[in-house]
Amino acid sequence: MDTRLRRKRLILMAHPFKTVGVVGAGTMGAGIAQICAQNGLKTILFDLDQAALSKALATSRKMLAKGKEKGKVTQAEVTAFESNIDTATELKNLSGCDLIIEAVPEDMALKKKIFTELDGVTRKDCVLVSNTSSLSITALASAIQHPEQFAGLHFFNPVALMQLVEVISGQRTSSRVMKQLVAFAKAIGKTPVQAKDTPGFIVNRVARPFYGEALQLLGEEGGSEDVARRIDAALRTAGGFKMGPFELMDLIGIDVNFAVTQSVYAAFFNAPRYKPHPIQQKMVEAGLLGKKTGRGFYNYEGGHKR
Amino acid sequence: MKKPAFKRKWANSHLLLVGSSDDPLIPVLQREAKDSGHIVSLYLDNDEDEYFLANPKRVFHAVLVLDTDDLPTALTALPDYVLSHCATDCLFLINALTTTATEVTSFFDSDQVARVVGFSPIALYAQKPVVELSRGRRTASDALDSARLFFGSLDILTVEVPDVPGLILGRTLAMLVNEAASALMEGVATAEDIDTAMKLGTNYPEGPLRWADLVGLDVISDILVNLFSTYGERYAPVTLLNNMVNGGDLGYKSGRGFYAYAGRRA
Repeated sequence: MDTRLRRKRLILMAHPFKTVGVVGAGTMGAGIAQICAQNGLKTILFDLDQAALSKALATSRKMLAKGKEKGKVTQAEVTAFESNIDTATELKNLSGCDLIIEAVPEDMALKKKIFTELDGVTRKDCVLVSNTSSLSITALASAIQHPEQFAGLHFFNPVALMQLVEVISGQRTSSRVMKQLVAFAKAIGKTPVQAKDTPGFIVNRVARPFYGEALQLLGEEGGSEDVARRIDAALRTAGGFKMGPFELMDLIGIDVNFAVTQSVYAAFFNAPRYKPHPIQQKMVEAGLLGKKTGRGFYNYEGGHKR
Repeated sequence: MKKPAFKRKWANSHLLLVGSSDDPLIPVLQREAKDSGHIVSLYLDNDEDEYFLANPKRVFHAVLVLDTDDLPTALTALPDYVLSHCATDCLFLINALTTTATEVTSFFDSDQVARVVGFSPIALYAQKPVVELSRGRRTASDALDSARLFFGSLDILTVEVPDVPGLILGRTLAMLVNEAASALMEGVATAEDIDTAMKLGTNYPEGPLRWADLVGLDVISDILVNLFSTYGERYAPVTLLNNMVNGGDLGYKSGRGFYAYAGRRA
């Protein structure tokens, strides 16, 4: 490559974040910390629970080893992970971070409390982001002194495998911070898309009809498993979708999918397009949550779809 | 085992294609049918004279009606002498994107109605050789088999679905497009980012906006308008989609839709 071009590319890819803090060592937090560290960024994973931290590191090591076996992860990345990852059980240990990514459960009050605390210990130029998939970025930003330093950074599960990151600008997020976060996402090997802070952002909003129409049709056609099967088959065969809506809801968890639907519906002030379906509620009430409970729209007893 | 049977059944049959001359699927189906050994006649834009000159005395084995925007009018406009030229076991394949197979019952006499099968060409618009087939309340089950064999003779795969407005893919895709268009209209993200997000975030085979351009925004809009008139507000096409269709930005075929297509007329 031409050196000037290369330099230009480096500038484009540049972001100012040298040390990244990740708050919450659940599945998402652990995954985010892993890809940051393996891509050469100093990373501090925070959780109040030391056991959760140990578990997160063990999982990451296992995933990296598996990835290396498959030739998808290099030895350099494994080494980078080991030399860059660190853990903390006190928020004040994140005071030197340039970027802090919050990945705790989807609870507005809990998240706000953490951000206010972080605001007290971090530098003024530290960028704070939330990995929320459903809460308002603008509302979360109100918990800190400089909402222009706040944005959303929505990763998808499993973090190490899913390419996409939604970079979400709140009402007052600065364009400079957006540019930095886009560059950051690219630097950790992801494909960023930019979205304004609106309910469901892009994916969780635009995907709603995929489930909503399927449920509507199932309701109209008597609700049998045979109908679900035919709808899934039609969308796979004629549409080229990898999975039909019922298979996908079973995989995601019918409770999780129902919760997202309800949250988007409420956030759009009950616009009829987003209306949840009684079938979803019934299944949640019955504890038929999909693959994880062995039964959803399909039966998974014995581990496989029947 | 099925293939030789339908080759026999559908070899050298006469097919009447009914639709509008600006539908890009007409020439495609015409070519496919001819290549498969069928004899094809066209009845386009309700032009009786054209039709009459080309078809002095022909007996049709299948009539395929492709119109989406106003199917009842298209059916009403099918003159008696067209219908009187149909074989007694003629198969009627009705584009069911905007009209269910059951809804068109009244346009056929009692013998014919058992041989009416709905189909969805939506995958064909995106160059995927699959059609959904649906059975009206009075469709005979052998008519559905016959339709399956007919499309099989054109190397088009079939999948049977319930007789619901828009059928399955058309209805799902139209609503995905409407939602994506609504997000675009509100400035949530660019068209490229919306499509990228749906391909990478949920594994869709194509972004909904690019997909809409391939199918045609007019087709998407027709599906939504029909759903809207059947079910109400939930299905109302968003303003951006209406404006694009009214302004002639129909997607790939018109040179511009959610994306611009260099070299196509714009």
